[in-house]
Amino acid sequence: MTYRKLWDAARVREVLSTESRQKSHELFLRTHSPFRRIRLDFCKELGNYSPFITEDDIYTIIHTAPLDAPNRLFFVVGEAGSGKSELCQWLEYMADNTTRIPIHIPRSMTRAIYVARLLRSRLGIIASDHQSQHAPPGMRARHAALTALMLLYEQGNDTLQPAAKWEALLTSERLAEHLVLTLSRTEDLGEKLDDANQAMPLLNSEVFKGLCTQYGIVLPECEAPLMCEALNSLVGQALEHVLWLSDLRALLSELSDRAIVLGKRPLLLIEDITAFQASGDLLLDYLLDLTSGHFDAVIGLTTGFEQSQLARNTLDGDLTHIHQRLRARFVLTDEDGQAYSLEDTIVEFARTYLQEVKSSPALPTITHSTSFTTTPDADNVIENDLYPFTDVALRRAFSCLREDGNRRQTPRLFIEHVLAAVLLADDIPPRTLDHSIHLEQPPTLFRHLDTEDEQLQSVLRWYGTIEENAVTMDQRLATAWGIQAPTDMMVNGRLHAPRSYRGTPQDEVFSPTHTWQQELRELQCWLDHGGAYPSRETLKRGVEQVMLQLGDPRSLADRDSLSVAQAEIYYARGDERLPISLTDNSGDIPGDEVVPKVTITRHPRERRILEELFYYALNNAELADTSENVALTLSWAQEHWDTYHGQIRTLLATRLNGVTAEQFIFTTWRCLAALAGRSWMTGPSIPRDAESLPYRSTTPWDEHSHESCFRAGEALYSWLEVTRRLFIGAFAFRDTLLNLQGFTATATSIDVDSVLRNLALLSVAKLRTIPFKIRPMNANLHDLLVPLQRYAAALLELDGKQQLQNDLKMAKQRAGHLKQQLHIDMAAFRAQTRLLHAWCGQVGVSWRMEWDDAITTLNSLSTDELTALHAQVQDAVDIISARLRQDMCTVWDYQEIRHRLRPIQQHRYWAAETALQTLLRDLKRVAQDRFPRSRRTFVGTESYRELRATLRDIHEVMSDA
Amino acid sequence: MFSIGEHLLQHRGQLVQPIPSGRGNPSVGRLLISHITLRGPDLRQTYARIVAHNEVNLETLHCEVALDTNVQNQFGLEDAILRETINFLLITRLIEQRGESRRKASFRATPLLDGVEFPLLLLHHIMTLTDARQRAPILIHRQLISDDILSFTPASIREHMERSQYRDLFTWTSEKTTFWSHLAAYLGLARRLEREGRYLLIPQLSLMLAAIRYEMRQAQIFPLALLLDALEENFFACYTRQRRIHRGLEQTLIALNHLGHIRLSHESDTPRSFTLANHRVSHIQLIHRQEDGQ
Repeated sequence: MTYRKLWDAARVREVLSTESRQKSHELFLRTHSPFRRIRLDFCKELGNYSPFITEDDIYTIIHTAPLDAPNRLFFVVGEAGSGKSELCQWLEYMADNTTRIPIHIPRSMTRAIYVARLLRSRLGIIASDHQSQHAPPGMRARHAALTALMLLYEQGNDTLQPAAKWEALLTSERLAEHLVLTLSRTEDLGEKLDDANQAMPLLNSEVFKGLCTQYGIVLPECEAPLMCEALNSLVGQALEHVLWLSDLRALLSELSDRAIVLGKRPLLLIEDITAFQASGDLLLDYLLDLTSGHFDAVIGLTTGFEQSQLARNTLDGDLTHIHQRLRARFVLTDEDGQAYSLEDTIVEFARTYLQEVKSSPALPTITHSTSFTTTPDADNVIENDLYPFTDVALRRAFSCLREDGNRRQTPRLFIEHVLAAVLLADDIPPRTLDHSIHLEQPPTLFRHLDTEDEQLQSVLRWYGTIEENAVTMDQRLATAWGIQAPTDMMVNGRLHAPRSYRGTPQDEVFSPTHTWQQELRELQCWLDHGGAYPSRETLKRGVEQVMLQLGDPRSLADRDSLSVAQAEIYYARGDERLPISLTDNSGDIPGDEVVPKVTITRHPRERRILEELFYYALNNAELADTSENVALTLSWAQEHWDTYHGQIRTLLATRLNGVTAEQFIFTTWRCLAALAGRSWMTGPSIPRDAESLPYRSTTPWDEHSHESCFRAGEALYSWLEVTRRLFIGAFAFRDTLLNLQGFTATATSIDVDSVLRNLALLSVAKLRTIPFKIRPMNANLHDLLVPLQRYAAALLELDGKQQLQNDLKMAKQRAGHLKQQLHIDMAAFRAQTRLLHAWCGQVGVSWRMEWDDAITTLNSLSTDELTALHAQVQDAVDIISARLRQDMCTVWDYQEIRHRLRPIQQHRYWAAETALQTLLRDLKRVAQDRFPRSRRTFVGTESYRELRATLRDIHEVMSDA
Repeated sequence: MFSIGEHLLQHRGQLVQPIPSGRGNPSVGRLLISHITLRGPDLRQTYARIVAHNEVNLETLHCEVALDTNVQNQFGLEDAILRETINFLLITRLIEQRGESRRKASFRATPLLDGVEFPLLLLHHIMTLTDARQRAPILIHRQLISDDILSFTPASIREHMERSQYRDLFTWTSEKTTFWSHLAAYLGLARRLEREGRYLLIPQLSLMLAAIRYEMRQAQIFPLALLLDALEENFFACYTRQRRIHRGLEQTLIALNHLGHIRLSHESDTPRSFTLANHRVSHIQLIHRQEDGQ
């Protein structure tokens, strides 16, 4: 797209040249913007100078020296393009010609031989006048050739390898002849400065090939030109060394003496010593020898070069001895590469150039776009002297200048990449600025517009004025470039785009160097194009904060649970932060089924919300202060919350063979409730006191007949309290109030046996790293899974029917036994049991305390009590028989029956009966052992017969029918 | 103190029977806002169980929803929350009691509106109470809306109400305002920000959508002003003192519009219109979406 222009492209190129020497004297002075702020590092000249001086102060400092003062050096230090050449050029034009001979040595005349020639020219001295002593040309030529060989050996050369291959050629007579010819030609060039810019003739390609052939050097055809150039460069460098040693040093001293005689001091203005190759350092050495002449030398130095190259090339490796010999050091740029004061004067700086560009006598034909027509309002805008810029755009573009990815605000970059680029481009200025690789797009500080008009966004980005609540700009400028803005953006003749945030950052002066603006730019770049997003942690922090406002999505508890006793399973991979992944190569590792993450895309409809969340994280402000529509933001967050929460639940279910969190808690608690003595036949229960009861008194399992269930249950029983709290967290509003809807949803859909099977099939070893914990106990879920899996496996292995038959058999035995006891003669029984203690003493059986308890218990039992017990046992027989007839018994049914049997089995009668049987058995065994039947010393006695009778009576009383 | 007569309420031409007071209902004189231990889920569940049974007594309810803790509480606190919940519902007249003794009586749901979700129903019932002190939950909301408050904490509400016209309604305490904050967040009048510990007076989308559906059950497109007037009359406050739409409500309307649940439009000949997000709006249309089940 073209737009209306009031300038000629050729004129633009002429005026906006960044090489000061390419401009005419008049044009230079018309476009020269004075240096108003130059940092003065130090100054040994007389005068009262502030830390910052102007170019006029530099002029004064340079011109204050006596005529015959020794060499005086001044460094002008600055980044490339900061105006060192401009300053030298200005000093040349402004120098007092009555007392100074300004000699401006441009970067394009960098060989030492040209420097000397330039000096002679300005002093009006022809080559023949030079009276220095010369060695014979042939000797100088051989010296140069040997020097070249030494440089090749000592400095190396990538192209001329190996060095020994070139030794014969470099020491050959034929090369020496060519060098003699070259030296004589340079002497002849002495009066023709214009020729000095031509390359020094040495060996052309034909001669080079001939020499190589002669000395047996095989040249690959494709590399011949490269090698020829490398050899010429090497020999040229050697020639300069020879010339300097033999000629230039003496020449410079002689020339300065001659100038003094004329009543003037030579003023060397060296734009940039970095371009001076080897002679640069040698020339500097000469000037630093303060007694060697009477020069004033203003030397331009690039900042980096001064610290690295220059220091390395000095004798002792640092700049101390150089700085001690300097008269002053002027610095044009700060440590960020920004030219001093240019930011303040950038509008005036640009205006000067723009006026000169537009002052062309023959204005070009005005170019119009075919897509729009201009209006009188637009014409007013175009007539502005800054057109096609505004002061806002100029300042913003200047602050966005970058070079090689680094911030650098120099006049050259500004002229080339802002002024010239915009004036010469066909596209409208904001789009040109957008596309420049030397400008980092400023962050968009207005809310993302509903319209997709990139031009409108672009013009607001570069030309918009940042106000408190909106970014605004003159609507006429947009109109002039054919940008149609929605009518609702027009407020009092200005485009009006609401600010993208509220909070502290808006109070800062716009500058892309602020960290937050750099981060905002990166965010917007990622939103626009994807790709690397280095500062993404800020956005992720905002996303995390808003999601956590809705609760922690890693928690699997019921969010309506109010109980302080609740516990919850929660996802615990990584640290406390929510794992968030930004898509499109932002630098984040995407989540997957194993490592779920909150995935944030850069969908256009999310853009506003993401920018707001960025500010939310940045400001540490309230959500209501940074979000335009909190309802929408929270709705967006809820979507992500639900998705991520669902992923967490799916992950847990996948690791648990399809068992969901609620099913897991439901089943675990049902197992534990059964172990704690609750059968769950009437609904869930939360026995808070269960933990205080010993396992053996509550378990339905018998240590001997259900060993695996008993042992596994014992291990699981230690998780009773944790699981109780998990149950409350999942299915209860409060400790005593069930969440009926939530509980019913699980209870009606769950197949507990199926869940048990899945839990039993778990590979516990593989679950060692399962990333879930139980909060607030901070227990690993794995630690609960281990006993649960074992217990589930034990339950599944249990043969309920067989166990029922065993229980039936035992119940029948006990029923028969008790039936016998119903008619016991308690008086006779008590009389017989009283004898037992005495008998133990006689036979030598140690009496145990529990036997006292057992005998006491048995003696105290009433017939009614025994009758009741018998009835209970008989009921159990009936229940078990009925269940067996049904031919179906689940583990839960069986546990129910076991719990009904438990009061019977735990009746005190059975323990007492068992103890008494033990007593009798021990007594009989010891008696028989102590008095062997064979010796018949005891068995025939009356005592023994009495003992046997007592034992037999008791046994008969206590034995089964 | 206030008299029993204040409980008499003439609502839409229907005489609402006064709640029997005295020995049979020892707690109906308590302030709604003083039921500080209650939370929304308790109320919703108890009401849902009473509706499900048509008529039910306390013991049955207790058996259904109480967890057997195997602990005998000598103070009878095991069903304290349930009794408290029933008391609250009785005061709001969402349920009525039949029988003198609370433990022996049965309870029956008496909703004033049909086909309305519990949050809206509760708001409506509180709004129809004649005693200003019992209407405090609605009045707090109305005051905050009227003053265009967007963000609040329970403590700030107390201060705000003590400076308002309702300062002498009763003694404002943090416990009362905390209860109200929880209730408002549960019903959907506000949003609780877990991390900030603050509340935003922004109606939740679900509440707003339910209210709009109820009011627009007879019409597809409706003047927005009439809709908001109806919401003000039946459920909750919408306008600030300057008769502008409250900021939070405005955000919710825009969000519903943005998410495609409703469509806001402007008809030039409409006498009353509003500016929402720099757009003139006069009418609202309900969009039937498949996922909404409409």
